Amino acid sequence: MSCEVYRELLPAYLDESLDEVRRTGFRSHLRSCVGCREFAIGEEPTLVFSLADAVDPSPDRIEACVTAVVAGIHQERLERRLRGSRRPWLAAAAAVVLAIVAASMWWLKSDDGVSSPTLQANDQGVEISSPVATEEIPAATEPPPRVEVEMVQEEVRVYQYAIGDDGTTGAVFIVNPAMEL
Amino acid sequence: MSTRESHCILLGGARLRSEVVMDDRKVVRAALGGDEEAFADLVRRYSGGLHRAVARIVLDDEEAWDVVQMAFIKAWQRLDRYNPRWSFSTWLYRIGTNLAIDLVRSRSSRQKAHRAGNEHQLRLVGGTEETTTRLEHGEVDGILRDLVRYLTPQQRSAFIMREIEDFETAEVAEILGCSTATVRNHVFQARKTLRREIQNRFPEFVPEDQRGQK
Repeated sequence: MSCEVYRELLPAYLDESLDEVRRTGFRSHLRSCVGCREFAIGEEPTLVFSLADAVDPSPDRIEACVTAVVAGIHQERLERRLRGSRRPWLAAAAAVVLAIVAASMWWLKSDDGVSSPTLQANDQGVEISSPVATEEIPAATEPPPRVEVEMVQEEVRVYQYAIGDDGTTGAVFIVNPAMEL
Repeated sequence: MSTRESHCILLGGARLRSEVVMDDRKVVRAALGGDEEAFADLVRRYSGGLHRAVARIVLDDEEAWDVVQMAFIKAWQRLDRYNPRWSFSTWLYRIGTNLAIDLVRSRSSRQKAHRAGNEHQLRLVGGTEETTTRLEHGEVDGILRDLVRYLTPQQRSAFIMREIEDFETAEVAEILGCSTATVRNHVFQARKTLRREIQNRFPEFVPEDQRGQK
């Protein structure tokens, strides 16, 4: 095509009505023909950007990018594996099951007329056992032990309180969700 | 050969283009099977062109590399969601452009771009006649970086993909997640803003009888 024909294509190029093949030809001509480029920029100054740089980065820079991407993929894979091994819901479920089992055992023992020892913390924070005489607490009126589950960050703590209103802790389970179950 | 040159050849030759797309799909299949080296080949093939486009959007070369790396890692994570209806490069540019637009929107970019723009200020002397014959390609790139900050992130991306990187309108629409009509509108608005700024700051590109007109 002659320069004249290309110049006639300019309005169609600017209003985006050229088909892609002719558009590519027009742009290619603009980059190679100084006369047509001068004419086109005179008509539409933004066509100066048809000369914008198209140089790729150095091969070293591209290789550095490849290395960074592969390292990122490895890290992401490792994080996903670590996430997969941590199952907090499983730890919570195990804690609840433990609490139920402990409560049931406590209840059965109470029914047999044998009271369980209570644990009390002394000044040093060490739990000590204090057996209670069977005849002091009638088995029939004894309420079930109180159980509380607490989530502290990644830990699951289960408290089972001793019978009575003194708030004495009977047993504490601490479940670590990071632990393999 | 630069990505744009290869892109032009691809656009001009449908057969060659389809061969590259087919090859990309083969490589993507290998990567889906866990072949990291195949994916590394895709990084080698497209990181240069993606970096050039992203750098023109975020106006910072180093941040552009961060975006490119993040785009490839995201592409790897979502490889199973890649739709082969589009070429891999279109899909990758979509991820990269979205990250770049998010970066421009989120950072205190106005001040940063303003600083970068000021550092880049170029004053070209001489009349309209044969001005561009004296222009180095790097200078045109400098002017583009200087003026592109006046565009919205969407206009910026559409103009760069369409006018600088030579993507087809349909591809730009897929990259930006909008209609072809919206792409044309973004390019039109971008051209209007750039024309105004060129008239204000680089009048040597405007014919004498049009200078001073807004």
